[in-house]
Amino acid sequence: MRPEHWLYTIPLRLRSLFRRRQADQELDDELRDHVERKTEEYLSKGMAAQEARRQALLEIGGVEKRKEECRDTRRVNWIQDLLQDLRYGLRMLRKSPGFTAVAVLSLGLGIGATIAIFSVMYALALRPLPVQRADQLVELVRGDGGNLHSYGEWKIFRDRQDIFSSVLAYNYFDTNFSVTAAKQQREVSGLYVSGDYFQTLGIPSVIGRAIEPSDDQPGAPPVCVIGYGLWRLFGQSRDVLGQTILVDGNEFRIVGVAPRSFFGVVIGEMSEIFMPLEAERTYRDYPLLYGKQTPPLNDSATLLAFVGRLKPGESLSQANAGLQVLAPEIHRDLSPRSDDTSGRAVARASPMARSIRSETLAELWNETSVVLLLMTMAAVALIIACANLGNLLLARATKRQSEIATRLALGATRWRLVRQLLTESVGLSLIGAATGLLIERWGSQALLWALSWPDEKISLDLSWDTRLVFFVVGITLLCALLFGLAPAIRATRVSIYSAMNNGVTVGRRRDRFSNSLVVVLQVALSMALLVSAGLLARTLHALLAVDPGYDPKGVLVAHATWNGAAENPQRAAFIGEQLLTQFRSVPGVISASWSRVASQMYLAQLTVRKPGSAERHLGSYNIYVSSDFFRTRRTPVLAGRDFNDGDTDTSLPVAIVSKTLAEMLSPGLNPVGLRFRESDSKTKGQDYAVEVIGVTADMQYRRPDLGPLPILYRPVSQCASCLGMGDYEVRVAGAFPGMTKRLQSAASTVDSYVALKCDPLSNAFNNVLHRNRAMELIAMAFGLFVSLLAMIGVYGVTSYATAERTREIGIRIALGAQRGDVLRMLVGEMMRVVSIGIAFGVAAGLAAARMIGGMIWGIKPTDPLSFGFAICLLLLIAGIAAFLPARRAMHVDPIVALRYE
Amino acid sequence: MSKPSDLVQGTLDMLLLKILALEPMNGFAVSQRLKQVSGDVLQMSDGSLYPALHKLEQEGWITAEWKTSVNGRRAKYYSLTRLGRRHLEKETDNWGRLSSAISRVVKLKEA
Repeated sequence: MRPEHWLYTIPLRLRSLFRRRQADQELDDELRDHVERKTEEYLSKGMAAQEARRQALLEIGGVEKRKEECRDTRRVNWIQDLLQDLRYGLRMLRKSPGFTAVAVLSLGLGIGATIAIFSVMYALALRPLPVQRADQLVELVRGDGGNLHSYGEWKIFRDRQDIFSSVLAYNYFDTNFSVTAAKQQREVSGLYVSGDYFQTLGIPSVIGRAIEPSDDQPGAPPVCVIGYGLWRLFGQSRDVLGQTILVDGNEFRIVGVAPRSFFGVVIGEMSEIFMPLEAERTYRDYPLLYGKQTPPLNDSATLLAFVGRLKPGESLSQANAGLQVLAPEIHRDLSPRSDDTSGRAVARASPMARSIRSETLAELWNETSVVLLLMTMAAVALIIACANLGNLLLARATKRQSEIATRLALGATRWRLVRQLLTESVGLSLIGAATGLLIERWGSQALLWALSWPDEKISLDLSWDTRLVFFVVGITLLCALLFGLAPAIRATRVSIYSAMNNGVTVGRRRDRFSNSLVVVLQVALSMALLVSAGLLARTLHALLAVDPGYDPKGVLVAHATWNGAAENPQRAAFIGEQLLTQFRSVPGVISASWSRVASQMYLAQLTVRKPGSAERHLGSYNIYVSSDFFRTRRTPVLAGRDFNDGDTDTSLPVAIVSKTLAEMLSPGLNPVGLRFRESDSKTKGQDYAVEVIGVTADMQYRRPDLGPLPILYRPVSQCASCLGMGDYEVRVAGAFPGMTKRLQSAASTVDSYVALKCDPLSNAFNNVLHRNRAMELIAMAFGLFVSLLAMIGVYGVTSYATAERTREIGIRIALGAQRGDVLRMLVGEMMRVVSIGIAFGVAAGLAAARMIGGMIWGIKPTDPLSFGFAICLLLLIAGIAAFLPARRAMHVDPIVALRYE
Repeated sequence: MSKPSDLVQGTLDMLLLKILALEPMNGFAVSQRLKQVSGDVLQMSDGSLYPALHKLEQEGWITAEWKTSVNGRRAKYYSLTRLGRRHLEKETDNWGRLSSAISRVVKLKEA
């Protein structure tokens, strides 16, 4: 477009846009003028005045139509048309509040659910890490597959490496720190990071500076960077820089604030405070091994994860080749002994674009059924909402036929009308989406709650970014098209004659068929969701019915902490023992015991040898318990004996095994008397020193459907590193609140600084099933919502059908049919359609059961109760939804019906 | 009176532009002049005249002005713009080439 073109056309277009009334007036004047001149011409030719005028008007062929055509040539029309259509659409919506409410609510719920689920999935899987050039970052793993390294390795690796443009290390096990500032104390999740953490990731600070390599030196003053959320809590002012805060009792100075979008590099966790690695080494809480000194550099604890940034243009294989050369060097420097064959050196780099690590998240991601179920529920809810709306709009369009016919006669093109109806749909969709956004905020939080474990929350960055916005807009428009297009096209396919006559519209067979089709679809989909919900509910019931191996009712778990434990381990041990004694003497306490889970993260190894055959290695989970443990929990001892006071640190090392472990140790035989060797304890080197003295029933420590764990119990008196305090289990005879107070006062008589937190044991038991419960709730909610929508659909279709057939009904009644018979006929027809839907629904339910197979346990996927529940519920509410409008039609006076136009 | 021939829309635009090139006039006068000059062969229905004129205005080839004529009547007068004049020249050239090509074919002697 050449500039001079614009010179002429822009003023014109602006005028059409903003001085519309004036432009229209001029158009009117112009055409009027033309007609007058034409009339004059005919007059001068001798025609009569009236005839001349008529001829002139004829020749112009319809002034309004011409005006419309002239207006159509205006280029900016579409903007005006859009606004006009939107205004008109809003007026129509206001005039029928019932329809609008239903439409907006169902659209809002459908769209809201979809957006909530999508935003969570997006944050889990697709959203890029909040760092620069995440594609260049790689995670370094070891030859044996582990991804953790020691501090000694870090020092050597950092100084020697030349493969990456920069490297960073962070403390893998995120920890909760208690942060105290300005008299407020909070528990936050935090990380120890290396000096170049922020630089390598490319994260600038919002205020102040980031942690630098100079902070990560031995003896450097301890500094920290706090997260954006924490900064907000502390007042969000610049004075926070330079303030000193206490982290777990140690002083740190704040030097900077991380940006809002940065949460670390582990998806699913939100780190709120970052401290240098050297500080970690100083404050690490291993009093038994190191006392108060800094751990030696070749301390073998592997706590750090390494991340490297590839040099520009460097490929992963090049980096790996470099690592192959570097790894043996590091290994050599770390342990000059050549017989140390643990594959500990850094050996391989693997891409770290997604570091889904938190166990909760990794486990969730593996449960594809959960993910699939959620996405399907959202999609189904949306489809059904749109189908409903489509039906409702179709019914409304029929009522607007005379309006549409008039507009067609006045010269509107069909395309123009379709555009208008579509715009109304888009408007409705926008309102629905706005409602949906309100619901989404709440919904995504609820979803995160459902997916996390009660004590291990998943935190995700759910903030908006461009892709999410696009998704929302796309979904809205898609919905508008889905439910708006067909009715729009159908509505404008109108024959002017029949519409203008407001004629008897006999329900066309094709209309009725498509209506029934929609009902069948809705009923089938509702059935699928209800069946899923039913199956999940039954699974939950089955899981709850599994014998946990102990009696959780009436048992409190008391977790004791004492601030001085790090400095004074002897006193801590003494306090621990005293607490047990005290608890046992509290009135109302039936029995009390103490336990400490030693190896939660990994299987401990034990070696056993049958006479005459080779050594076997087995894995077990080890728990150290005091005497009375099994009695407190009411776990039956199946063979052998319980621990007693005769098992001390000088007597024979003994152990009790769970039934599963017993089977593994000596299949089919009683393992009592068997001896084995623990692979990583002080008894190392002594041959098969530990003797099995008893077998107990399996206790459920995780979800029943995953099976029992092989557990080894050892007496606490024979555990060298088990001093101190831990978890006490107390079986009580009274109400929990009262007993809690008594236990707390008993604890304070031992030492006034002991803090005691009490929880019912059944909470732990229930928490294991948290996700099952949550998913079942969600599925049930969705199922009911969708059924409700389907019922609205049935109601709408039935009332529409009955309205159409009013004349026919009148005739039937006039001819002598009983009202009851007609009612039965109408309802029966609808129920027939519903039954077809249910038949399809059974198939859909089976498919759904197959899809969520991973979440079903303890029942068959064709569980008749679930299917039966779904069928009965649907029949019931479909029956009501069909009955109500049909009944209304029954009260019509046949004379009125016959006269009805 | 022969029926108006089917004219390609572009050609119609060209005719209107040409007429307006002679002198500015209002819509009624344009249709009169067209009829007159072509000897009643080319007639444009009143109905298609005004949308066509408006379209030419939107393209920027003609511009309009409300004037009061001699007998006190207000009318909208269209005149050609510089852009329109250039477009007219181009279209006239095209038309010339097209019509001579058609003539050549039509004048072929039958065997």
